[in-house]
Amino acid sequence: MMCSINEENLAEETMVATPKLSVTDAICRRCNILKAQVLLRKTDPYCRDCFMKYAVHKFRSTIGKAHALKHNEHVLLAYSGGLSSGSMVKLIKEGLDFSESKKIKMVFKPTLVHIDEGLILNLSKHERKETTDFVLEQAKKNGFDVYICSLEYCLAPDLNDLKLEMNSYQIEPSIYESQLEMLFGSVKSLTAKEDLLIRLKQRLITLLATRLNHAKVFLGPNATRLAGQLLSAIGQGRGAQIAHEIGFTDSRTGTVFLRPMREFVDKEVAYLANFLGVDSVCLPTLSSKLGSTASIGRLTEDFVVTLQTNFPATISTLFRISDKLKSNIADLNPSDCERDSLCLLCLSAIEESSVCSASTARHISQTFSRSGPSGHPSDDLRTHPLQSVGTVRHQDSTSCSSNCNSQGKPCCKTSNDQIKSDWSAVLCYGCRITMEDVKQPELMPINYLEELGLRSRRQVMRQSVEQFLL
Amino acid sequence: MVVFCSTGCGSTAVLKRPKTDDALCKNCFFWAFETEVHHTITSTKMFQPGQLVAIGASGGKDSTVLAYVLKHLNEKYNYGLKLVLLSIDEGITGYRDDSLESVKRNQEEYNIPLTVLSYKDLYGWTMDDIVKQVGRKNNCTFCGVFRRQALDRGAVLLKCDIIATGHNADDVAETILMNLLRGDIARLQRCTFHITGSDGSLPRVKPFKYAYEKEIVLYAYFKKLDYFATECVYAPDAYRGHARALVKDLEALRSTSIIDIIHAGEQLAIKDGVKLPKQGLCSSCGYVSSNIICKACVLLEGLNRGRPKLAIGKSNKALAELLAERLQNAASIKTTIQDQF
Repeated sequence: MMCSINEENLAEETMVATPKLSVTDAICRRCNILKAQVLLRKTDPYCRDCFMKYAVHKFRSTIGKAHALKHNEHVLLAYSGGLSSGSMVKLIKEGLDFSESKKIKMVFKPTLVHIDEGLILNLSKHERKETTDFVLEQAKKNGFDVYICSLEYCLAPDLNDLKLEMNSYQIEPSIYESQLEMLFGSVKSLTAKEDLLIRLKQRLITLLATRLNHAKVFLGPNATRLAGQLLSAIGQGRGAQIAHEIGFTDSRTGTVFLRPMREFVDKEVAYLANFLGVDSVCLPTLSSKLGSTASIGRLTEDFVVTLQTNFPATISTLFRISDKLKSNIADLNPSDCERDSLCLLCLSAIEESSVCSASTARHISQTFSRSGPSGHPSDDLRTHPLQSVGTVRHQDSTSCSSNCNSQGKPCCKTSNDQIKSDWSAVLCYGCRITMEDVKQPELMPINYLEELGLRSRRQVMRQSVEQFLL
Repeated sequence: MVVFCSTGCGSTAVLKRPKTDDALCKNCFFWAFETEVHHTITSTKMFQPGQLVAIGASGGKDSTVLAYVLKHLNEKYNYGLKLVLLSIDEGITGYRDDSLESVKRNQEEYNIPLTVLSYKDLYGWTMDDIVKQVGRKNNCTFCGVFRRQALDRGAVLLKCDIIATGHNADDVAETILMNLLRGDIARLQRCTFHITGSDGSLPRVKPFKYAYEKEIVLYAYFKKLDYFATECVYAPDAYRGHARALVKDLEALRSTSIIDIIHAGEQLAIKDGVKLPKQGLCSSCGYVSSNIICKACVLLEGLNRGRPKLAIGKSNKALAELLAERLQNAASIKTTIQDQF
């Protein structure tokens, strides 16, 4: 084997594990008076008061520096019942109550929103009720209003008919229940399931925000989660969307999603929750009780957590670099960007694939290993040595191999492939991978299917007049 | 149960393609692998007819298969290229000796001329000597920095136009993750380029950029190509090992992950207003460098002065020290000259 050092990338300053600090009787590094109660980044001891000052300042500056909120604006807080979003709610509550004259009070009007995901997690009605009761109780404790909605409504075209009650929730049977179960049941891999859940949940929260007339939503993921999601996004080909998926603001859906907890690592959230007296419920996820290689999301999150314990700069390094990144696709204003060029599922701009790119390489590998040499006569290539082989189109419907030359009958692949290729034309690279694993895409929300049909027809129109377009 | 080749050629499949999970027969796999490399070469316009190409040959699987495939494609599609093998002998007993034997066999079998350049020739030090000086903790820094320049210098000596290396898709994916974890934004962007280093140094290309490591091994296995598989006797970079393990785990979960990571890497761009280190030329040796003096020269100077650890870690400090000394020297020369006149 070749040397494992890649000369192109040699570490100028190789990551070094920080030496352990002896913490017995350490004094707070900030006030230099009190005995430290917490240790951050393995080297910085803080006392309780100084830690809270530091945390509150960080929270407020994360929100403040983005200038994302208007005075007295209504904001939805997505509250799962977990530690991270629980701490977010509590920090906001304290920020609103804050009366020390020197400091500026936080001025916006929060309402909580909770998505009941119990259905796809196979929880019993009783277990679901326990969680939602907890959410209702927490909202009451903090003096905020709360709306709870069940996940299956993500399949509804809109929420106009939904009975949405403030501060109360009943699990009621709905027409979307079995559709959602079947949709998730048809997904081949856990990775795709988790990605689909992210997309559909974002859709549901957007629908809720629209129905409740809120333009902004706070989400609760912390730095550790987001660092894992960053690597997970890279692992699923979502390079162009890093800024949206990890950054403070995500405005792809029209509703603005903000992540005020993004600068706290797991450990800081735990301290915060402890000092603030935050109650939480233990929330199962799709990958609960499964090993660390259950899905890409789970794998990368465990990877980050393990690496962080040995190299405490891991998460902050990932954050620093992701804040410097943007999409390669020209920054288009969503309003003047043609809807056709946005991904149906995640509403990101669809990447253009050049002849020499990974997405083309992926596509031709699949075409080549299904069509073989006879499908692509090599003479074609020989005529232009060292010249481009020609644009490879993604919409190419791969013709079926000689395996199914049954005359008269429709080819075995075409009907199914037709749906597949229609989807692939309206999705970004990342969502395309996810949808490849969804075996019954016809169960997706009806608006998606309508838009899909519309775009396919437009595509046909465009092709027929292509030669006249300048 | 007999599985037929998924291309429908009628032959029995002998392998499952790591990249797409399709079952293929030997010939269809060869064809697919070669045609994909051909596509990478032609679509990126990697080579121009008449060029002299130096193939960085380590004796390992990647460079052995690269030499074989490049020769084959060059003949099949009339690229009009002249190929030479270029090996760097780092001077590591028990590692390089054996793999150099394998490169020499490649030379005979493929009939491609071979040149071996050693660190000893280029820098006056073998890796074994360097390890004696610096110990086994930071030696990889020396080896990596020196190797990058050594290939370049060797290719210039041989009057080559371009260098082709055997870096495969796994390497590229690993490098993307590595640069993310290390926060190295400039390299994160550069590492997905098709052609690198064309400014000041020779251009470098990776024809296997989209080829999976496992497919390279399968190709070598079925073509019965001989290569030398061994780990370097000196410990490899532990941190890179994490990125490598992650790539392998991701690939196990979803076979297209490697190419998906590269796609993600290709889609990344740097926000406006983010400062990047400027690339210039080393004032000492003329090689591309982001500092006034390149890393190799600083490392070498440290070695020659008996202070090998000078440039490990904070290179700016070492650089400042070197520059101060040079200024002093220049000043003293100036006074001597003034004295004389």
